[in-house]
Amino acid sequence: MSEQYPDNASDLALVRQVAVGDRAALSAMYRGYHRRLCRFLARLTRRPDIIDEVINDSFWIVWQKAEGFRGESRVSTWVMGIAYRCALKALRQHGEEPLADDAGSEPAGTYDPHADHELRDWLGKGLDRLPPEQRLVLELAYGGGHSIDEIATIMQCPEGTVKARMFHARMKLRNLLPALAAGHGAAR
Amino acid sequence: MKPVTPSGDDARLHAQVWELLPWMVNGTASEEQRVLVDGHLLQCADCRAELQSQQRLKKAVLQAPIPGVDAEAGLERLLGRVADPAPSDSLLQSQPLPSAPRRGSRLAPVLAAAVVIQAVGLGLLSLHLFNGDRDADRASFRTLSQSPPAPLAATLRVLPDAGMSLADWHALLQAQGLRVVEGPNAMGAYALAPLAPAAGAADAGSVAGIQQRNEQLVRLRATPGIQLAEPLGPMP
Repeated sequence: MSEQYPDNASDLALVRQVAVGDRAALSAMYRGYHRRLCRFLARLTRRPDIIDEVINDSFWIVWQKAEGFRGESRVSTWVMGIAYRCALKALRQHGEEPLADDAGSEPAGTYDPHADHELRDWLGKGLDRLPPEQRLVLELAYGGGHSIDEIATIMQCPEGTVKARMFHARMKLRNLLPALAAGHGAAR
Repeated sequence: MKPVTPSGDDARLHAQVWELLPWMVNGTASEEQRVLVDGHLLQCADCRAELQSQQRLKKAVLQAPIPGVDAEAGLERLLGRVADPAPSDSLLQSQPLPSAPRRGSRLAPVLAAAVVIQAVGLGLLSLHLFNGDRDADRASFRTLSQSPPAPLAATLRVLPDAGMSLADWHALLQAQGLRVVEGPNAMGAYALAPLAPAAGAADAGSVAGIQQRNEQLVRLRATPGIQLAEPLGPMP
């Protein structure tokens, strides 16, 4: 299963339509982003009700602010930034913390290189062990295809912070998953 | 500390390339960075292995299980909200709504009416302000040197000599127990009010208040440098 990073030209066309009140365009954007947002938000919370609420709030803001969007960034950067802020706000309102690193989720030492789901689960457990900010940087880089400056915009932090989070995430994963670095189960 | 040891490569270049690998994998590295990384990869087995690790990591991130959130049900709720926003929705906004009337929203006529009322109000206000140069019976303008606004209305209009220094003007006001509540207007006149109401005066319009004003008027008219001093409000 592959996932294409968003195409900004089509996204921008949709935002322009949303800006003039086109609900079909809003629906298309919502469907286009739902999966990506779910995966991103699942890095912050395990509660589907909060994820659902954040996506709803994010697209409510997209609906309200589309008119003012001038294309200063890619549409996906804009949307993810809105979702990130909505998520932090929703977590505060629900008295929840972003998912802390899960020390109980110890990844096994190896995995079956011929089973995608094993690679996925093995790495998933490794990701769970990262602090939320590092996990989100990996998600935005690999899940969303965002550049350093885009991630800095989304997470409202300096670019140096993004680089440092990526660096520490990789270092920690190397320690947790030595097989990853050793090339066991090389990518096919 | 980097986990890999450069073998024959310049350590700085190795570290630089190592940090660039995720951005190569997600396709956001610049052309210049790609050339740098590609050149280094030819000679560095460690970085080639790390590149593969990052590619596997990207694959795993993209394949992470998606929580069971029903997109269509969520969209239906969103469209319901768009059609009929709850009053609490305004709390979500960190900035004002876009200024153009919102399409199809039932708020649109209300907002349009509000804009018309505002425009009429602004027109009346500017008319009032225009005439207000000769009407010092307002107390909306205060200088930074003034103490916090007091409820007392202006009782006197005073035109100091253009040559009067600020220090003399302040000393005069202090001596007479007066404060500026407005001005100067186009003529250079100020509206003044007593710092404190006269003893026994419920307000500036009371007998004691009028007496206090008249005494201040007499003293001001006797002061050199005051071209004009006249009462405002009810005459004795």
